[in-house]
Amino acid sequence: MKRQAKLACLLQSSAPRSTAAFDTISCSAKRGSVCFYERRGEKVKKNKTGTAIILLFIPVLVYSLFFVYPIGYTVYLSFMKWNGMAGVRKVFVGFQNYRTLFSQAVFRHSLGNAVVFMAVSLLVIFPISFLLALLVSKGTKINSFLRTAYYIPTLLPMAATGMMWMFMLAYNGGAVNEILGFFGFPPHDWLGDTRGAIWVVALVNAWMYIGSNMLIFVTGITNVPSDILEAAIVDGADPLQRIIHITIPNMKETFKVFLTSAIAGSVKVFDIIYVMTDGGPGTATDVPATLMYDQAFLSGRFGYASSIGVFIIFLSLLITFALNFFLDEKEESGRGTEKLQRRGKL
Amino acid sequence: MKRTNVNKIAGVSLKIFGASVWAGISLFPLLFSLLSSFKNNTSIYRAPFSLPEKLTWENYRYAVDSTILLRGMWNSLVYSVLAIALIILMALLVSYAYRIRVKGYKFIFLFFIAGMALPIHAMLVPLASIINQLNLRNTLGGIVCVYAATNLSLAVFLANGYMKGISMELDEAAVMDGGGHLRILFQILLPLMKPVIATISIMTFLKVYNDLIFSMLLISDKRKATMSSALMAFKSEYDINYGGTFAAICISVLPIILIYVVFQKQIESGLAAGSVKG
Repeated sequence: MKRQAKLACLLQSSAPRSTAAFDTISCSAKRGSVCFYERRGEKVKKNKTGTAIILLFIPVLVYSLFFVYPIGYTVYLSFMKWNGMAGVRKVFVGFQNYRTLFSQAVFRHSLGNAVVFMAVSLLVIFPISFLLALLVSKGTKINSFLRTAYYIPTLLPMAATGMMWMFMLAYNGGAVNEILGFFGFPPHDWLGDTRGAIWVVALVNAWMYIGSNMLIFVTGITNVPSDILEAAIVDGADPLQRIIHITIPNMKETFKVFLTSAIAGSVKVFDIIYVMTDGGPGTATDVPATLMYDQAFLSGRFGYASSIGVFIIFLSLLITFALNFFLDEKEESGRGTEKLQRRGKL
Repeated sequence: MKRTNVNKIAGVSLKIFGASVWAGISLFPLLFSLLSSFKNNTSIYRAPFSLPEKLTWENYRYAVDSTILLRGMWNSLVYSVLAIALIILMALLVSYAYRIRVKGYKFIFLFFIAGMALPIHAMLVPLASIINQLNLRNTLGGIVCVYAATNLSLAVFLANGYMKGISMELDEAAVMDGGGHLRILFQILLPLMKPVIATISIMTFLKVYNDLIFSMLLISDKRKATMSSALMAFKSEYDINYGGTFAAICISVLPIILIYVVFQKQIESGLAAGSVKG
């Protein structure tokens, strides 16, 4: 706060012991333009609101109209019965949509599928990307190549990834069955199996995101203070001990980021299901977001679909805040954001 | 002494083994697509791992000449570039408003970065009807604004963080010289912010170029379709031309891989910074 006040003041930083007279000079020196800097305590404020409006007009308009307003509108629609036609009246139905939502087995099943994504995040993405990060954290040439190789799946467009895997997982002539056949396993209909399909899609999703999480972990590992590591080497700790007792405890912040984004992200899964199975076979692989999409754009139940949307927003915000709250232990408030800001500076 | 050596060798070989296995798994689908893109349907179906009998560009010719793939890639590129320009402009304006401490600057900042926590999929339903009401369906402006709005939060977060690190003395000097806000922002701060602008551009490009859902929702006109819609069109055909589809996949991912190879550093740092976004 103190620092900000210091930065905000025009003269304080350029000439720390400046006088008020000098302050006026600098303001008039701008020849009619607005004086927008504050001195500590007294505000030199002329037409600052006007400036703010000019600066923020476009951002506020675009961001509100195409992002904030639709989110608010979802909440409004979730209390309505509406088929999406512009001319048709929306009928207020109170909590009816939410009641329908929770009574439907399809929706509960879609939540179960979101849980599958969470499980795969924690059991597959987390260990593999952390191990890979340990392998390639040193900045050698070969590691840089490996990082590229690991990261490529994350870069690819979801449409391309989904289709590649769809073809490779095909029952007849798919590459996966072909490889398994080589080792004597019978072919399996990976995406046609009502029970297993969701796990298969979640694993493809893991294949995509292991690369990006690996990079996040690499950043976390390189940020571990090197003096502690050197001290441990001097004390004769072997590599495994160093990882367990030094690297991991020092990466709490990174793990927190991973947990939050992995768990909250599982609630929002959409693209990969949409491309690979479109919820099928039947509704076996539907997740809340694909259910919402189908209800709105195929069945024309916009109100009901919106209640699913609200539920997704609510759940992901709840998870984000809950995890931040529980994992924040002893850090004083505000420090978290400071940290993020610093990271934002690159 | 000897035992530690054996352990060390075992450890190193385990590392090399693990690293190469995952490199194989990571690259396999892409290499498989590349292989298949030179084969015809029967050959892909009968013997997925056989080498193509002869090197033929037929599938590529099909993907380029008989489908909207190139058109879609071009459209995606145009949308990305425009969205990036709009996002950078908006992110700079918001960060500058924060810098000069306009009234409620903290609230304004929070308002703009709140989007990082909000799932974009949850607003698809009303977005479709808002776009229709504003007559923005199938328009360049509509989809670019949607891309800009949904990717703005991270950009504001990064730009603001970077701008904070630039000394206020520069602004002061400019004020002394009689420079207004716009001059300070665009002639003094903008050139200094090139690194973060590069990061924002690349992160936005990857998001927008790869986007699937908004283009499916907001664009129904084939001539305006994006790369993802063009790819999805292969899938919905009754008689899938596998070779052609694999060729299309290879063509569509080529720009992304090239960009990654060139901008690896920016992407990695941007990802680390943006890892707060789920």
